[in-house]
Amino acid sequence: MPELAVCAYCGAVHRRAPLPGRTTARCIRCDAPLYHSTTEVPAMLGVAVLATVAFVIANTFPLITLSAQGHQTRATLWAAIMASYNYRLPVVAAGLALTLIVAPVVELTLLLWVLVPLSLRTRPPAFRFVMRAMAVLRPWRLVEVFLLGVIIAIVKLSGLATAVLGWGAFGITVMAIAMASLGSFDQSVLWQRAESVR
Amino acid sequence: MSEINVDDLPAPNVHRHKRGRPAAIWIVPLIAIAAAAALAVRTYLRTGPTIKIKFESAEGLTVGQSDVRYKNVPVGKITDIDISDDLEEIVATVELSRGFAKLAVEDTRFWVERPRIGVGGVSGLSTLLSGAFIGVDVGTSKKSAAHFIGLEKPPGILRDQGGSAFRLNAQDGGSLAIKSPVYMRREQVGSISDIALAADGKSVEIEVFIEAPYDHVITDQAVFWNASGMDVTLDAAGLRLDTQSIATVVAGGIAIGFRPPDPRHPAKPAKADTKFVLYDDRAHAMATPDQESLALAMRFDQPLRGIGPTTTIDFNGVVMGNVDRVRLGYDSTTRAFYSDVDATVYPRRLGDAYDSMVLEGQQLGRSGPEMLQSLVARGLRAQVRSGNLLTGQNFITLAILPNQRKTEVAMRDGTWIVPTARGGTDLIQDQIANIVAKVDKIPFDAIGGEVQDAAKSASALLGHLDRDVVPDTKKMVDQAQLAMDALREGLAAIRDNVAAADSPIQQSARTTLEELERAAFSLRGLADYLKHHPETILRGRASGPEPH
Amino acid sequence: MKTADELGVIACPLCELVMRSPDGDADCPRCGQFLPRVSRRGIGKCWALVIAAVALYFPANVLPMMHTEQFPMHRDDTILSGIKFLWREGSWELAVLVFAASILVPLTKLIVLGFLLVTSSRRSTWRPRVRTKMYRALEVIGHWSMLDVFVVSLLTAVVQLGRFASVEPGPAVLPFASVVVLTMLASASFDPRTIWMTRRGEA
Repeated sequence: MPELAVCAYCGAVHRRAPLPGRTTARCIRCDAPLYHSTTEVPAMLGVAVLATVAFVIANTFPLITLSAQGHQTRATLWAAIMASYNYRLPVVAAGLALTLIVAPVVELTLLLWVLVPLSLRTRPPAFRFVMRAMAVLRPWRLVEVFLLGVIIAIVKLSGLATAVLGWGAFGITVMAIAMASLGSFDQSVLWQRAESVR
Repeated sequence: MSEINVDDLPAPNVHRHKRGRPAAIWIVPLIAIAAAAALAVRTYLRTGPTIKIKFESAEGLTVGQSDVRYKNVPVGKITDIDISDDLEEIVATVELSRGFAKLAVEDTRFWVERPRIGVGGVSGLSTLLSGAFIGVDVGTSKKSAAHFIGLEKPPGILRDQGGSAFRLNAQDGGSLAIKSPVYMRREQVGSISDIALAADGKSVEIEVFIEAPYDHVITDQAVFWNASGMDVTLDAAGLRLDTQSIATVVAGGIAIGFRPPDPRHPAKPAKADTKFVLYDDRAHAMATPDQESLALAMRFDQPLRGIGPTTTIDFNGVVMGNVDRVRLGYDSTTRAFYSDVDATVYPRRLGDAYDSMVLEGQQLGRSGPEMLQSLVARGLRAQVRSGNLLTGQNFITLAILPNQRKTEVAMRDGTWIVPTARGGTDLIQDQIANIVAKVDKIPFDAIGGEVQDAAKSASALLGHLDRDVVPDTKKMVDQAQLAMDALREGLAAIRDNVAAADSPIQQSARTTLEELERAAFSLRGLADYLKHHPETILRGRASGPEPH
Repeated sequence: MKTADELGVIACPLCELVMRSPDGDADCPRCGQFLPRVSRRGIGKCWALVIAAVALYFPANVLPMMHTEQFPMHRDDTILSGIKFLWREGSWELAVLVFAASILVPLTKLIVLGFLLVTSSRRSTWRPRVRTKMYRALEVIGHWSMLDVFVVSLLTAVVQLGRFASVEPGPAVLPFASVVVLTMLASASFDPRTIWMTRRGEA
């Protein structure tokens, strides 16, 4: 019985074949991506760790430092979220917190939760739940958008005063890239590996 | 393609059939629509009325950014700027904030506050940074309005400022401008709120705003004068410098003063918008309004330097009036030039003196001309006196002079012809002439001759001395010389004989001294012996060794 | 080309396990994920969300997004006026970017979603590939509309220079964020397989 893949967009059934290098299989009927070339778990783990480190940096160090007229202000990620809260927009603050902190944290945690045991050839506990949770949160990770927002804010501010990107912005950048590439990894690898260590 | 056997595929976990709630999701759009509606309503409620203001220029105003400010508080925003239908003006659409709807009443005034430079100063500088805005001066009317015509410049007085406005009429604007200060007792009490040429071009109309509570101090006896710059007066009274403040030197200003209280006309507070005259200076302002005037004509036979249209006519130290005109005339019969002076005097300036004279005239039953005639008979004449030797300014004085020829005072065409007398400067000149004449009379020649004679005698005397007296004297001198020689010799002899150590005199003197010394010694011994043997005086000395 | 429906199979949306089609609602045996059947029930939910997003789209654009005070001037900026300001101030690249993210994207999403909803419910046969591509594009660009919200939050947090300059979020932030979220939810609730459901039976 050959491995099968069904297109999520149009329902066409394909045979799943191993892919060389970094390629993507596309649906014959509607050209939607079917599956990616498999990435090894160690590689995924490495990227996940990198993303975590980057996340810590992004939260610890300020994103932007603004100096003008002797004043100096700086904004960390948390400060950006609290700013909305301070201005009586708790809902917006909550939304920002969700997309910028909760979602990445949870996703990275869950990923590591899964990847570490898998690398060690043990089955991660509550694997199914964790995988489902990750899937739920994935669309709510908006770190890349935030990165662009930081860039735009810097440019807008440079007209006002001296605005400097802090280490936090660097962390955000790395994190965005890392998590984007994590998203492109083929989830089925995890499932297969989980099956194999059952 | 190999067969796909569906049965080889895993089977899904089938749910027990659940009845789904019907369309619970529709809550979401309901909430959303409600929220949107609520926001719309709130925004609508928060915005106040929309008004339109016409301006001639929209310079500096930006849609969406420029706002309307009342006392520096933003009360509305410009939402649109458009050109009026007749293409003459621009129309700014302004949305006032909710709470400020009451600003839009009929007599509210709007203007554009932008940087302005005028002689009165620079205003609106802050708008260079913040952009122009529309200023509001709220009116007091109860009727609201939606269309306004904006002012082109900020109103001089804002309604909420306590105080009153008064109107002044001036011959010219001097160095006055809007916002020029108005002073009372050298303290600023207000400023010029508007200044403009009268429509007929014959005067300048000035509106001044006097702040509360000083506006209540203004009475109908108040006088206003142009206190711009400095008044430098160099006249008969000397040099005077009169200024209100540096501000007036730079920006011009008006000063307020009060005439001395007149018991016949008690001062009443002046109502707002009362009209006053703006005088050129303090002197003119303080001068009591001259009710009656007399025209005088005087003819002077002397040079009239330093007399001109501003020259004062003075009587006993009181300035009664001034000269209007001086004309040079030529009398062909006497071949002399004369000066005709026309002047106007105001007898009331004499104050009580005038009143007394009038009273006297009434009591004596004499008319005005008769009174004047009696004065002239007593010696009233017009004289030119020197006012200021420095500037050569002179003035005319009416004075009662002694020893005047009898003359009449005449009137011609309503002008009194006052007889004149040679005046002050002439007297000095006469005195100088006298001195000169006296000096002239000194017989310097004679004196010179006598001095010469004396000199001659002196030289004769000296000659006499030389000839006669001198030889005798010479003899005397010779003799004296001989005597001197003799004296010298004598002194030498003395020296030799006496002063020298081995001279016989000295020797004998020495011997004598020695003997005396011995004698004294003996006596001393005797005295001692007697002390011890007092009885020997009586009995004599017993034989014994003589003490040595 | 056989479709899953024809073969009677279904793939788990999460773990991509291919299994026999269930008769009713079912879970994936491997990962427990719910197996949604291709049906038009989702279309109603999607409509609801789209309508909600449209309702909130108006205040999001009419109300000011950001209040800036830069001594001594102050201004309220809506999304549009902010873009105009950027353009006039010379940062035309930013203006284009913000315009794309904050105006084009949400508008496009709403229009495209509406279009897809209409075509799917009428079982239109118009170019399903194109429509699928459109849907995939929505998925990709959807979350980028949050850009302006992030920028405002950042500026608010950073520009707190006392009287010299300060930034405040305006009342449009919440409606706008809601619009983005709602459209994201809407596009997630839309089953693209309905595009392929034509009048001639299930795809």
